[in-house]
Amino acid sequence: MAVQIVMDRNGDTRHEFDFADPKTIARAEERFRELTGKGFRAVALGRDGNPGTLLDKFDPLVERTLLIPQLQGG
Amino acid sequence: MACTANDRDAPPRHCAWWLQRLSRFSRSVITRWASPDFAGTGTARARANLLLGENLSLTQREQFHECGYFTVTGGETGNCYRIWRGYQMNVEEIDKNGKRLHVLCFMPEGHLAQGDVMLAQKIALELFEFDALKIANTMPPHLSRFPERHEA
Repeated sequence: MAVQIVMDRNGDTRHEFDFADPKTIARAEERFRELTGKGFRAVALGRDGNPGTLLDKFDPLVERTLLIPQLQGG
Repeated sequence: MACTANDRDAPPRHCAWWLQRLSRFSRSVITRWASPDFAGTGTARARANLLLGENLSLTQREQFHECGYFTVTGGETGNCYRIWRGYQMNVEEIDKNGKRLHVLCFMPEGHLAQGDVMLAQKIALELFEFDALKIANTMPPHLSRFPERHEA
C-alpha cells in the first residue's frame, strides 16, 4: 500500500492506494494532477527526517507522497 | 530601523510601512486563534504535530524538544536555517556560529496547523530553497521575536 498525505485544515488527509490495483492508482494519479495543478508541491518523503525528493509527475511506486499547499510570503 | 529627529513631526514612510506590517501580522494571528482548528486541543493540531515528528531526524526532534526550534540545511545553497515553533516570522537564516542573519516569513496557503506549517517550511528549504526564498519576505535580524542563540 502507498499513501498520499494532503496537508489541509484537518492536519492532513490520507488517501491510501494499492500498487496492484489499477483503479486506485488511477484515482491517486488524478488527485496528484488536480492538486499539483492548483499549486501544491508533491514530495516523496524521505526516511528518518532525511530530505525526500520533489516529484514533478505521479509515481505509483512512491510509498509516501506529501502534498503541500502553495507557499505565500507573510 | 530607528526614527531620526526629522521623523517627529510626521510619521515617515518606513515607520508607516512597519506599522502596516505589524497590523497585518496581528490580524492574521487573531484570525488563526479564533479558528476552531487552533483551539489547542483539536485533532488538526495533534495530527500536524505527529506528521512533523515523523519527518524530523532524531537530532532535529531532540533539538526541537529541548530548544523549541530545529535547524535545516538549504538544499540549494547549503545555508543554515533555524525553524522556531510558530506560524510566521519563525524562520531565520543563521551563520555557522548560529548567529541570526535574517528573519524569513513564508508559509503554505490555507490556515494549516502549526506542525504542518513548520514541516512545509522545512521541506521547502531542503527541496526548493530558491523558490521559497523568492516567495519569502526577508526582514532584518533585530525584528525577530525569538531569543538569540549562538553555538558555543
